[in-house]
Amino acid sequence: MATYPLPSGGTLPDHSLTKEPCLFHMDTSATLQLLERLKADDHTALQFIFTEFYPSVCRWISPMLPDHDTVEDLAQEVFIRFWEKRHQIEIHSSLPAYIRQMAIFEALAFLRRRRFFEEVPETIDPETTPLQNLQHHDLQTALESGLQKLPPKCRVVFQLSRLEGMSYAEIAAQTGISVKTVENQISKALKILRVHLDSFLEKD
Amino acid sequence: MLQEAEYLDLITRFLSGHTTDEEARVLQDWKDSSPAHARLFESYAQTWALFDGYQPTTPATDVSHAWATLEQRITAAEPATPPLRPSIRRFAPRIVRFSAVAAILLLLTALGMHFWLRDHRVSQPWHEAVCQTGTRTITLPDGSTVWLNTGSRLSWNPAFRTHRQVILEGEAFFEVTPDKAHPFTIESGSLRTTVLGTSFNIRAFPGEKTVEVSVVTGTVRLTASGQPNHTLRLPAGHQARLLADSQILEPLPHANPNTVAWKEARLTFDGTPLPELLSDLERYFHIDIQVQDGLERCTFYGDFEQPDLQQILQVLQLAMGLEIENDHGVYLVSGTPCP
Repeated sequence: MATYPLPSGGTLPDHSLTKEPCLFHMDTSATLQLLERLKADDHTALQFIFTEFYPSVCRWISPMLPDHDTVEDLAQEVFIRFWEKRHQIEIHSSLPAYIRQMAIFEALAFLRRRRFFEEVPETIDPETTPLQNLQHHDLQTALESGLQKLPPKCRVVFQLSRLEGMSYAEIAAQTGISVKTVENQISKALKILRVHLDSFLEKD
Repeated sequence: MLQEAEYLDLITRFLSGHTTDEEARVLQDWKDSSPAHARLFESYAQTWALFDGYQPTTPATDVSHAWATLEQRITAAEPATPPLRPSIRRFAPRIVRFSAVAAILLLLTALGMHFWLRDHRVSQPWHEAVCQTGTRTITLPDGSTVWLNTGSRLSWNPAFRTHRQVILEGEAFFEVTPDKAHPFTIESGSLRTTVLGTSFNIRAFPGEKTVEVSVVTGTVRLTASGQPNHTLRLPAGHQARLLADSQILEPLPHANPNTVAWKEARLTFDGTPLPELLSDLERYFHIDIQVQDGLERCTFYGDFEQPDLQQILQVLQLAMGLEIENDHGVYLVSGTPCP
C-alpha cells in the first residue's frame, strides 16, 4: 500500500470566486504514485485530481462553449472519461497538460455533435460591427472581452490556435473545416482584436 | 504587391508558426517596402503577443458539489465491493514508565531531527503548491491554512501529521493549527520559523535581501541558519527582519498593517509618512515609484478597500498637493515639502 497520506486528509484549495487559481505542481514521482493509486481504483486519488483540476478544466473550455451549465457538464465528462481510462493512462508529459488536452478534445467532440463547425464562413466578412473602443485599464478584462467580441466559430478556432497551440492541420482535422478557412478565421480574429486592444499596443 | 486579405493571412501564418522560409521572405520584403507596412505588422504581432500566458478567468464553480455528483455517477457504475473488515487485535495494555525515556528521546530527536530532515527530504517527494498570479489558499493536512501570494511556492513534508515542516519561497500568510506535540516549522531562505499555533506573515523572495516576518496572533520563534544559537521570540503585533548577507535578525519597531494588504485587499494608512506609504503601494501593485527629496514629513490618513491604484493616486494628489506622473512605467512623485 502507498505510504504517504494524500493531502485530501485536509480539504484542498478552494478556488474561490475572486481569486485566480495557481498551478499545482507535483514532482514526477508524486504524480506516478498518484496514478498508481488511481489504477488501484482508489477514489481518493481521483478526488485529489478532481478537486485540483476541475476549476481549471472549466476555465480552459469555457470560451468554446455557449453557457456555464454546458461547461460544468462537459467538465464532469472529462473526469468520467479520465476515470474510465485510468488503467490505460501513460503520462509522459505532465498531468495538467494531459488533462487539458482531454478537456479540449471533449469540448471539440461536443461542438462537432452540435454541428457547430458546419457553415463556417469561407471569407472574411466586411466590418459590420461599429468600432467601439472602451478604455480598459486591466489587460485581463480586455483580453476576455476581446475574445467575447469574436463570432463563436471564429473564437473557437482562434483559441485552438493561439491558446492551445494547435496547428492548422490539427484544427482542420478536429473541426472538419478546411485549412484555408482556419487561416481566414484566425486572421479575422486578429483583425477584430487588434482594434479592440488598441490601447495596449505600444506605438512609436 | 499583396492584396490586403493576403498579407493578413501571411502575417497570421507567420505569427502562428506556419510560414515556410519562402513565405517569411515575402513577408519581410513587404515589411521593408514601407514604414506603414512595418507598423501594421508590428501592431498585429503585439496583439498576438498580448495573449502570452493568458488564461481565461475561472468561472465560479462549487467543486465539492461537483465532486459529489461525479462520485455518485462512478459508484453507480461500479459493481458493489464487499466492505473491508477491520482487523481486530486484542492486546493487554501495559503500563510503562516512560517519562525518563521520553526525555532522552526528545533530546535525541532535537539533535537528530536536523539531519533526519535533510535526508528524509531527499528521499521522499514533498508536496508542492505554486502560485504564479493572484493569490491562492491552501489547507494543509493538519488544518492549517496558508495564503500564497503571487510568485510564491510552498512545499511540505508528505508525512505532515507528524512532521509539520514546510519550505516557503515568496510570500505567505499562515494560520497554524495549535498542536503542542508537533511544532510547525517553516524554512524560508535562511530563516527558520517555529510555531505551535499562531497566525503570521512571511515574506522571503529570492531576489530580495531580507526575509520579513510579521506576527498577528500568538508567538513565533525565529532562528537564522547562520546563527543557530540565537533565537528571537516574536510576539503578536511585532515584526522582524533577517538580513540575508549578515544573518542578523532584527526586530522592527512596529508592525505595518499593510504587510498583509495583499491578503486582505485593503491598505491602511494611519499617519503614515509618505515614503513608507509609497513603499506599501509599490509592494501591493508591483510598481516602481520614485519620490522627490524633501517629502519625508508628509503624512497620510486613509483606508482603501479593494485598492485601485489610479484612485489612490488621485486622492494623494488632492490631499497632499502632490503631482504624480507616469514616466514609461515608473511613477514620479513631486510636490511641495510638508511643514
